[in-house]
Amino acid sequence: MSAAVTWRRVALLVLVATFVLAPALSPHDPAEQFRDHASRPPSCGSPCFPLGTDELGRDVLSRTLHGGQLSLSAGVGAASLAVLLGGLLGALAGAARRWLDLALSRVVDLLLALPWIYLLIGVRAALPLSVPSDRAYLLTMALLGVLGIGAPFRQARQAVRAARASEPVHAARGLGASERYLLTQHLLPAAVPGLAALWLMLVPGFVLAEVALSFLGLGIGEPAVSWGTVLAQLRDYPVLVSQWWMFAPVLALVAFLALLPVRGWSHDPGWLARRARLPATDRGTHAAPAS
Amino acid sequence: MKSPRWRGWQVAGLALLACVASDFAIGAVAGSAAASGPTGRFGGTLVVSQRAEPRTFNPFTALDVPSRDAIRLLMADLVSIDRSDLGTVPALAESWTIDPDRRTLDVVLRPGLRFSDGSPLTTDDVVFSLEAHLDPRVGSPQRESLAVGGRPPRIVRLDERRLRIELAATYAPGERLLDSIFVVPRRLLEPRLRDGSLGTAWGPGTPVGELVGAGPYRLQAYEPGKRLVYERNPHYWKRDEGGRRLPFLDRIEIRFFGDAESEALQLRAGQIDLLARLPAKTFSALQQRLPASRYRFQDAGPGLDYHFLVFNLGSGATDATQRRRQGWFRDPRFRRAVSQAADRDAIVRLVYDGRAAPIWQPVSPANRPWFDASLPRPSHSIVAARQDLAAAGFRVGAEGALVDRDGVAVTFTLLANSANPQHLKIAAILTQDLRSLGIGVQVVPLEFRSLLDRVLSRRDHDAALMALAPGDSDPASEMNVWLSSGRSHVWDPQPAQNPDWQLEIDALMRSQLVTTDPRQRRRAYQRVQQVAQREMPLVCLVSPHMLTVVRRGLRNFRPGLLPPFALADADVLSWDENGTR
Repeated sequence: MSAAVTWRRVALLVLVATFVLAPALSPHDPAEQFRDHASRPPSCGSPCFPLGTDELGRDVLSRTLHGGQLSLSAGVGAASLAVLLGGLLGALAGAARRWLDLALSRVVDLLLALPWIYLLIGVRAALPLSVPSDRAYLLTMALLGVLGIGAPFRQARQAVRAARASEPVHAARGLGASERYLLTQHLLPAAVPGLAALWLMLVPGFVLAEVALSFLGLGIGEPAVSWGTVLAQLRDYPVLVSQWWMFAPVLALVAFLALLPVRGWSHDPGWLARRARLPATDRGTHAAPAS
Repeated sequence: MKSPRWRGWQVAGLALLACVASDFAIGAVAGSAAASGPTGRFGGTLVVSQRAEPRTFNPFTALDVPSRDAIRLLMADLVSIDRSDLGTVPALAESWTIDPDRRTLDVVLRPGLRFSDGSPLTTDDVVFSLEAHLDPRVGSPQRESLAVGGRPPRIVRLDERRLRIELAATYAPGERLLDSIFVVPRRLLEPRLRDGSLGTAWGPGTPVGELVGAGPYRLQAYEPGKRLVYERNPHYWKRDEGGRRLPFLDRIEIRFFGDAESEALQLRAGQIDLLARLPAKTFSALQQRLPASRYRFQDAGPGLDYHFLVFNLGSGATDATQRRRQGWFRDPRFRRAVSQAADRDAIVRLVYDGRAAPIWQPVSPANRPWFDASLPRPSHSIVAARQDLAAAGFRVGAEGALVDRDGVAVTFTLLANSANPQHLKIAAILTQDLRSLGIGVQVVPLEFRSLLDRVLSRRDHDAALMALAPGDSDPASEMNVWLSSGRSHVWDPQPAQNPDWQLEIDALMRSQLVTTDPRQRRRAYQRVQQVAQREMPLVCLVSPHMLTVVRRGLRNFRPGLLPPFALADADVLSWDENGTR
């Protein structure tokens, strides 16, 4: 492993740790309004605002840290859910009979064809209003995850179908292996490396989806804070043109996305398989770019 | 009565309003055309912007503001409400008289009126247009307004230029009823009325040559997604000081931009000449960046809109939590405490850059004829709010949270329009203010139509942040808000049982509509404001200013308090020699 990769991983770890420790590192409550200090550029008088304040006098650094915690965890959680659910359904479709495969595939095609943002708006509008912030957060994550199962589904289905036609599986079947044995020992493991790579590729997309949702005001409402709710203030023309410190979450988001080793890992899908000591025959044979 | 247009954001305003002469006259009243015309220079093009495209060009069914604004340039009504001073002015009607009971209007048309295709406009067209509005198959939103007393008026053609409108009941606002009742050519649309398809006529796909009206302009081109282009109507009735037919401008171009920020950028790029109803912070930012030598910035004071917090005062909730919360909300002391805790000055300063008026009653100070300036304006006070809450049986529990008599923590959700940045900021300010009382507020941003659906139909919400834009300065336009049976009765759209104060408001609103003495009308409406301030069905917060940027050289421009805000005087707008585009 090169020194650059090591440093990148260390930097990523530090960045993620910063957001995880947001409550301890934030100088102020992210929702507290210092109304006499509204729209202040970065300054460290009394009180100290290292990244300035927004239009309501809230500390931008505290909001960026707490927002990062929410946006990143929602993105990672939603990506994990999508890969888990999509992977399982895809593997089932790949291993199952034709009619079940067809039914599952059409449902997923439908999910892929739907414009997710409108679907989310519709679902959000239909939900009960009195949902506490923590449940609203879980709900948003679950919605993003369920709506994002398309790519993992196709990835897993393709991998399992290819594995079914492979020589080791034919040999095992010839030796009398049961369908359950084939599924757990050969077919599902064949899908794992591709899904692992796909998970890494999906995380940035889901983080951005949560940010977009909150940016549009459809995420988790005040007093919870996400990068999207902080960035939403940039929709105001005067903030956009004169309050440069309000771009702080953009820098944090770009840093996170740049440090994620998506490219390197996705080009080496056998990485996780090696770490997981998966069967050599199945290692990295079915990795394909997500659709 | 007219339906108020609901909007989550955007405001209008004008500080100085003249008294509405027709509302304060006693006995039989009359109106007639002014003697002298406007002055200006002929020629030139004006480019303005609009945030949405018209859905229809049908003057009978248009409900949305973009459609009605687009139609107003093409069509004319008998009598108009002046968009700036809110008095009535003659349009196609040369004069009118109203009997002392305010039930019979005699209208005289101007001589020699013509539609934009050159065909004559007579009382036949006026009678047809009124009857079309009243035909239930057409689905006109103005049908209800015209059916004063619940019955349609009798319309009698007296001769080529005179007609009589006999209302079924007294209607105090009188000729204001005729504003925005546009006159269309009978010969073109009568077949559509007969076959029942008038409601779908003149949709957005109609060839522009088929749209015929008596307004100042004709539609020259409609490029969906891009722009509307109007050219001057050579047969328009109004003339300038020298007797030449208006309008002054050769063309008006309306370009479509999705939001205020895009509009501001286009203005900076010199692509548009006029922007009305700007958000305060955008206005301030443009004022700093655009040269004063090229642009005129107008802050005309508060508009007619009022923004408020409304609790769900219904009583039929099936959910136990909601039922408990509605119990809190129905106590006026709880609502008053919330009002006391709301820091209106902070809202004005932080959200509107100081360009809004704090309000405590559901009438904007811009509406001078009806605004009751004698009502108290209690200052922001957490102490007073706590006293009200204590009197209502609430107390501070563990960790500073407010709890009710049963020890249940007081929390509620607050709906806000997700596309309205000002409302989201107000919601954040209220959240912090109420946290000082120990009340937990969770803001739920919702798409505007979903928000309306929750408030008016599903009624499963706790509270909402909303705005009302009255369709007129006259209280008649507020009937559907204040009457318990009104369609926009936002605090309890379908009341099972009305409290005494609501019954009093119902009686006062009904009485002001049929009272011909303007002083009694005013007293009745002031009493409505007093009851509303005491009982607080709406926690009124602010009335934002009417902010406009105009390229210098545009003459005769006055910002409108009612739509169309930018093109209220489109027929008299003109460019100076140096300003011509």
